[in-house]
Amino acid sequence: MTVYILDFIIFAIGIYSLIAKRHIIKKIIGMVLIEYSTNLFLILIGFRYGGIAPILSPDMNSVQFSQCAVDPLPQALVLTSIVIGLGTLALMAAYTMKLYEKYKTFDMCEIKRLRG
Amino acid sequence: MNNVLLPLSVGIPLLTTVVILLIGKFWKSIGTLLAPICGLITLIFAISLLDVPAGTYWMGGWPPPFGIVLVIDSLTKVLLLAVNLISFLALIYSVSYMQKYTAVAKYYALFLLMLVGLNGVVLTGDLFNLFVFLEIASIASYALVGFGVEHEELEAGFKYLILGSVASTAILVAIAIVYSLTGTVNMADAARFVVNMGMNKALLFAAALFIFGFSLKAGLVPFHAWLPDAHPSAPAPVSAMLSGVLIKVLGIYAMMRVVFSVFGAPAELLNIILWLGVISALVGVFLALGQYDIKRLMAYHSVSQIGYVAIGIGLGTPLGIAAGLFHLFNHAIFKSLLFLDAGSLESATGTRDLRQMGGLMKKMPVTSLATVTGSLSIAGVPPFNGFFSKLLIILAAIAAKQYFIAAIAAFVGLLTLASFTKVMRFSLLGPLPDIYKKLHDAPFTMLFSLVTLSILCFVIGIFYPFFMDSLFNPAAAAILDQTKYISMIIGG
Amino acid sequence: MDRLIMQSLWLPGLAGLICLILVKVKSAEGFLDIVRRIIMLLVSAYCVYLGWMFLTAGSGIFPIGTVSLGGLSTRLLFRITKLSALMIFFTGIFAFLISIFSMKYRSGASHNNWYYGLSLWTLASANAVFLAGDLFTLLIFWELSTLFLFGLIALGDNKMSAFAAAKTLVILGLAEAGMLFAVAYIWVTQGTLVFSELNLGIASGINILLYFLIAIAAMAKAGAIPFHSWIPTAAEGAPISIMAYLPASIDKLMGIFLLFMVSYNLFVFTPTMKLVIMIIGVVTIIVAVFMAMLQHDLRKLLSYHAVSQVGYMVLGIGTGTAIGIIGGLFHMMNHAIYKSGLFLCAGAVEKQTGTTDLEKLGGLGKRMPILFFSNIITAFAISGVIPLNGFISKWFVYQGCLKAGQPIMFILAIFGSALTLASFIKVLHSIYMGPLPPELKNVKAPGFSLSFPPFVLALLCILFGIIPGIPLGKLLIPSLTESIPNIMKTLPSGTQFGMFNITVGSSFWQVGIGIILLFLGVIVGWIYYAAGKALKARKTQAYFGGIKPGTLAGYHTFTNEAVRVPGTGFYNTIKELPILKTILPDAEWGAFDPYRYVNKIGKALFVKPLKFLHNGTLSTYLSWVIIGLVLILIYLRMYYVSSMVG
Repeated sequence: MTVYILDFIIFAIGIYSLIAKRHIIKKIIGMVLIEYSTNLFLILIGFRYGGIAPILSPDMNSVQFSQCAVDPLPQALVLTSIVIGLGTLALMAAYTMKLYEKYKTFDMCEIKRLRG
Repeated sequence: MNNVLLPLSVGIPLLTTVVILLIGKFWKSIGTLLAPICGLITLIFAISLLDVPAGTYWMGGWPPPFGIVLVIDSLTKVLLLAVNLISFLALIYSVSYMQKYTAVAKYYALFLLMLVGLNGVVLTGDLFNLFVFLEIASIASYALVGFGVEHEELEAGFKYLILGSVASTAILVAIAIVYSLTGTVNMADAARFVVNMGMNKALLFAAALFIFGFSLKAGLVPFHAWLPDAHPSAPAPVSAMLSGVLIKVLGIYAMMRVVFSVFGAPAELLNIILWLGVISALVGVFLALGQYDIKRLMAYHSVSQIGYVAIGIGLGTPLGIAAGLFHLFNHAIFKSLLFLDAGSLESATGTRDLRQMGGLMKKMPVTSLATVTGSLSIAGVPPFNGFFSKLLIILAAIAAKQYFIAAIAAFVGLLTLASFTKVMRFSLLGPLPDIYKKLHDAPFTMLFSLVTLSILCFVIGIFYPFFMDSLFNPAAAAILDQTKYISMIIGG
Repeated sequence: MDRLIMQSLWLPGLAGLICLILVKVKSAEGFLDIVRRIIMLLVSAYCVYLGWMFLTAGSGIFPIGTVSLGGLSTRLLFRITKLSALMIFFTGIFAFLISIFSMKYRSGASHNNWYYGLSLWTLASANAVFLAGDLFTLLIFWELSTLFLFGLIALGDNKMSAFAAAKTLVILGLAEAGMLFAVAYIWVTQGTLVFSELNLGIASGINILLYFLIAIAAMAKAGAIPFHSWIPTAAEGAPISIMAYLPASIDKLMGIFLLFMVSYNLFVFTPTMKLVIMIIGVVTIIVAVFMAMLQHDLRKLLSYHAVSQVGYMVLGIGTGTAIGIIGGLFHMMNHAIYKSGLFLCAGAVEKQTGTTDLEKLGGLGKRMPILFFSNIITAFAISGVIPLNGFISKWFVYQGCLKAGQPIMFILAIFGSALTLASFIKVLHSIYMGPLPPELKNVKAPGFSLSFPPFVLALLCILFGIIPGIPLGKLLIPSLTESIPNIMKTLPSGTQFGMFNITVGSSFWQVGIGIILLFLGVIVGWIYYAAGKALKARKTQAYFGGIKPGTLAGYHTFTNEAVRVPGTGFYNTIKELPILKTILPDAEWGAFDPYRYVNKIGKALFVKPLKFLHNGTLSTYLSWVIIGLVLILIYLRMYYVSSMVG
């Protein structure tokens, strides 16, 4: 349970940083923290204490295996999710550069031409 | 049944994307050539899928719940048709419209990638797969919104990106929770678990996160803030895609799938959707009334109209859902028409400010007529399609004894009318400013899309019983029948 | 008969489509215009014939199919009653006259394909509204006619027309949104929309609400306060022939027809509802006529009168007495005739002089004698001068008021009528009398196309006034006896509508006496005039600031000839009345225009704050998102807890 709470703390820090910080990079860091805590959450779902890697070796039967191996599916999901997160992050970084070129600022509160 | 058209609807655009990206470096107009053809092919697929029976396709031959499964049922057919129809017409429109942009090949690649994501979201029967396709479509749309690389475009794109990522994360967390409780990411399998065990606190929490994430993608108030920035900033065909289908597929359709097919549509979730819809319909139209930027005005109307759709779906009755889906389809047509119109007007006059336009009826008759058709459709004036879906939603609300909501729907219809008479008044009617004396109507490929969509507005309005019976009533029946959905995929 | 009914719809519809697609092929525009004129002329003439056929054929019901929408279904049918046949007949006559008028009036105008196309479509949709036997057909064609009106006003091609068209569509759209809701409600609860199958005759709260929703749509179309303000604005922007065609005649027919039908055929009409409707009527009469007196543009003046006269019709229908209803509907017919005539006169004047500003007009009486005659007759008819048609219908309405026990409304209605006369004295004076302004020296008399339609309408005014037996005894009374037999039975015994004399209970009206009275009046007036001449009033040169005209450099253009009293200042004292002074500072274009206030207040209350909230800051948007999520969670939590408890 503690691990989940710690994970949630990371998540909360991410939310805080995303909302309260004005600097674009800090906002992005917040976003990335949120994503990572989510990935961590996925891993934790499949995780069990003292579990083994989900690789079926010849010397164990399937019942034994399913009792002590960690769940492999979340790991597969997390891999995908990390890749997606990478794509998003790259796009964010690209946007940041372009935004800086145009607005000459990293302060997200200054970038508010679109309103109303 | 293993209909190979299902994976091909996703695969062909994906393949074309790759081809365009590879060859696009050397030969710029490859996108202009290939993308509309690809759009046509997927449209043909979508049409030919209309009369196949409901069924599934096992990716890689793995049976569910182990493998990824693609599903086609009556609801999917409606959405597939809408997505591919609009994207084909938007691609045709792009041929002339995108000439003023550089990096056209990248535009088409991104566009088709978005199509991949949309078709994937519609077809998939797997929660995590849904998330992946949703992200593909979203990331492509984040990039497309900023395609103009000017101040406004970048700002809008970045805001959209951040808010969209928050929604995606919420959806991922929700998927994780569902997985941790049910041990599966297959929708039908999870649904079987929910049916057997009933809802509990954690599942409700996951459902809340799902609704939150999909509402943000759909642009329902109060999660709408990105929409009026992002939709106007994109190039016109992309705006048409975003407002026309993206918010519906990523938002409404995905929400329906999860809430109805997985969670079995409990009343509390439907209530949330209903009231989100009511608030969106009102707030969106009020904000639209204050706009003079033609595309921003239309974007706020998207918020409002999506609210309408959510009202229909949130009612949860067969009539309400059919009405919501009918409105969803109609809105896809007339809103993309309106955005394409706005694109034509903008590229002709060089401005999006309604106050600087005027009298364009005289110089751009076809575009103007298309704008009038679109405006009257969205305003719900007979005999156009918007009238019947609006009437149906009001009828459904009254039938569900939600008189207040019916009254609000009628009222929002009026404000929509007011707002679009403003559009017509400022842009099309009145005296022609001198600077526009030499305007010409848009080129053929642009007009083709406009005219096709206008005719559709009219035809669907006139023959609405046919469309209701063949498309929307079966779709509503399909989404309401959770048991059938489960048995269709995992066989009892 | 089925065939004829369908003809009354598809023929104008198809003709409209043909007119619409006959677009400019460069040089052939003149020829195409002639083709369009001939099409409209023939089709509208045929519609008059159809109306006559319906009148003579008698009543009947003609099913055309069923419509089903999501599990709900209703039969669609057309029905001919004597009243609807009468309406179609008159609609056809107006379309015919307008098409004659348009020949000259619209020659050389742009977008004539739209003009003729939409006019014909309006004819088709009006026919459909009158024939509709169910609410669905009625609703669809009702909204379509609004849509066509929007298009026709937008053809005005001056700087007001776009705004006028938009405003019209919004105000009528507001009323129709209510009607849409009412129709949807009725459909769901009753399972049918066919008039004869509906069962709304119980005075329950919801039925009263539904009644008012539909009645408001009807009154908005007719132009009763507070939904009137589109008419004055439209008058500024639309082509005048369209004002004569729609707001002055067909819209009145449609609006009052529907009001009559919902009041007496669909819903139960309780005394309280009657009172509300009557108050709307009286307020409309008085307020609009005051507004009219202040105008100095002929178009706006006429349009305010078009609003004011609606008051009599609404009042008549609201009395709930047989005589009042006869008066209301008769007044509707009469109003369509004379107001159409007045607008057409104004159109002819505008076409010849290029303006409708009363201050710039004058002295045209000698140049345009036929038009002058038509205008005098129609102006006197609207003012209710003996023995023209307007007098008789107003007389009925007054009787109805007294019968309904509303003497105050009776007095106010008479007062409104007097003010109308006063207002039209100003009009006639300003346009036709006094010296001719120098700018108008070259004005010629309007030709056949411009002067014939108003002349015909003026003759109709006289005819209906002198021989009230034709419109009443032959047309209106039989229709009403068919539509509302129970109310018509309450007419006092001894009531008769003869050719030249009308007796209702103890009161009677004989045209002969009327004409004698008129002659007496004319003789008295002539004696007064002759006496004035005999006394030989001193004539002298006009002075301007103490300077004799023509004596000082700079004043040489100021001749005696040019000293005109335009008559626009006749009633400026109204502005000085203590109560009105406070509400009328911008009377001429704004006061009593709810559209403007609703617009302003709505924007300030809803639009501005919401726009302010969208401040462009990402953090704001993110916090909304989080708050939204939290609210969803709280709701689910509450629901969960309560379901656990329950």
